[in-house]
Amino acid sequence: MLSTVLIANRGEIAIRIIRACRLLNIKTVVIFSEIDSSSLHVRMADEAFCLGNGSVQETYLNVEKIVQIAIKSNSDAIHPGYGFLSESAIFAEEVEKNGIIFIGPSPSILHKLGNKIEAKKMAKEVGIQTVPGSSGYINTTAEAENIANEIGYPIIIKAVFGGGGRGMEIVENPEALEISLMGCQTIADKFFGSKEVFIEKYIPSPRHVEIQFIADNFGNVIHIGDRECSIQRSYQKIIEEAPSFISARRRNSLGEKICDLAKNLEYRNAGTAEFLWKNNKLFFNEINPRIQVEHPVTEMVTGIDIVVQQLKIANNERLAYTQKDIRYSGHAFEFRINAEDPLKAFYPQSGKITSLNVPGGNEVRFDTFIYPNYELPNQYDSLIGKLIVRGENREDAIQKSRLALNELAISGLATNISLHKAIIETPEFQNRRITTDFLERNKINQILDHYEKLKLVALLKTHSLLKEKQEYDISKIQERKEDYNRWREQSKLEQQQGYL
Amino acid sequence: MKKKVKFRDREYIVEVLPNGEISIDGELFTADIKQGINSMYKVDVDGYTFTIEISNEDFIVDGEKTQFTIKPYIPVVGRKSSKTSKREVKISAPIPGKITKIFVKEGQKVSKDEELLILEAMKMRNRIFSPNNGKIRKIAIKENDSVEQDQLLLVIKP
Repeated sequence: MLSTVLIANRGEIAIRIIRACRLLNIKTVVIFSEIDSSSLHVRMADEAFCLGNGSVQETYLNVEKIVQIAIKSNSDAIHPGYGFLSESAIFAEEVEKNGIIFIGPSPSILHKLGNKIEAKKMAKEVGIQTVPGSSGYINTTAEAENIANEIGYPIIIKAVFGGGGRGMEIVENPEALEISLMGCQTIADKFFGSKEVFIEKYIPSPRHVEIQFIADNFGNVIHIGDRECSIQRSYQKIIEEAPSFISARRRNSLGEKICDLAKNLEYRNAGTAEFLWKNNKLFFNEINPRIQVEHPVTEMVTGIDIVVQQLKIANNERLAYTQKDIRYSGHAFEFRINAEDPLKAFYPQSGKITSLNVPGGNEVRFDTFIYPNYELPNQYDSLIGKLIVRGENREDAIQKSRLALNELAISGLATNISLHKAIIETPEFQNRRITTDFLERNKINQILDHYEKLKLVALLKTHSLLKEKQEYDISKIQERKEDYNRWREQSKLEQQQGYL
Repeated sequence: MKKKVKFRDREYIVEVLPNGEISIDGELFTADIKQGINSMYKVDVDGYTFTIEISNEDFIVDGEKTQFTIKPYIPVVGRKSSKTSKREVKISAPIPGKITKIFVKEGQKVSKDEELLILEAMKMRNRIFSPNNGKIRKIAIKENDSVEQDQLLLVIKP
């Protein structure tokens, strides 16, 4: 077995990986920026190395430094988590060059999948439907016009190496085409290091569905179910669930095709294929070659610890499961708890966590890295925890989620807990009418506003009761004083009488 | 008496009505303290139960520390507009919902900011006020009617 694993990440995913390592008796090494020195992953790991004080480029994205630490700490492998360097072919290559195992696909696969056009081509080869669009890069306005006329407006221009909701331009009409193309090329060049873009038909308000798969180093690939991730705010998922609403037959046939794709690629370790679902058609979007934030919902309905599987695959073990072994049971939700104020355009929050109540109960899981008195820095992602709940069916899971969200309380900074509470109470959510524009469509802000007022009413009611009580207490004191005075008068009188 | 309450960086106009209901920015709520043990209270607001704990100066709602300040509400008295419109004012439903109460009758005189009716939508009870002084010329709906958004409710003649 691997003896030491370096975790090149922070936050809840670093904790998640530490726990999986501990299950397999693997020593853990973590890295941290100076501002993260009181972060929980530093406290929990067996060894922690400081990356100094600096920007993300100088710390969690510093390939050279991280590889040096891996060598120094005798780490056999590096787990990149999600975000940061998890999809960097350059990082994976540097890691492997130094004889260290990269827990993820090979650098060449990372490179291939980072190119969205390449990924689409590969999906087409195994018979997966893709969004209609250009088959190659688009350089000139003339090329863009041709393809736009062919597929029809609205269209979307995307950066070939883009991701995370950035480097995308929706074009509604021919007049806006030229300027959008130039804008997208500029952004692509600036953020993704390549000005290459391509064009697709824009699909408005789809559902976001994805399929998790795992592959070992011996060509065995299985898919372990689907997830529904449509509830998003500014292209960031906030609630995910498993299974999604596609039929079991569809899940299996799509899963098989994804496994074919992975086999063709000689893919290894965990991955996720993302799809857009609209009008009963599923279009391939991309493959995320890493562990995902929402992996726990799949764990809850399959019973498979995906991070443990990642470590075992990295240890050159064969998959312990065949496709036939995979059984789905129940329904699971994940609520991303973000330090952001939904009433103020999701503005990120930072500061001291003054108190924390973590929900509990059967099949309620809270993955987090915050603790009371922890000072949350403002440099990083706003994700501070993930509430994961499993129920016998969707209704049961909603009821459990409702209770768990009510128990969860974080003081010190604004969070999106009330947003989750508002979402799960809408009939649209309960009736599975969820698409990526859910928040706008359901006027969630109005509901949040109402909820805020309910809370204020409760406060005011208590406040007025206390005031009444205070006044009552004062009047009692005055009464007592009067009694005392009367008694004093009385005794005086008695004294006088005694003298007489 | 109207009060101005600041709660989480937002200001609300709060009024406790004679029947005990609490109005916040024109929305009505019924609250009831179900239980108080030491300094912990269970408060029911229109079917939602909140647990409120008081420690020192802090109010802790469902485990979350919150603060609020109460100030008297001083209405801003605008200068009288030189041209008082003599035209009829049509009041229509701002949101779809159900008319649960009508406080006025046709022909009745009303003054500015007088409560006219209550429109219930998605469990929210919204109070509709008169925008100016006048006389109710027409009431186009009756209690328990369901109304669409922008549907005419009543007409006021200055």
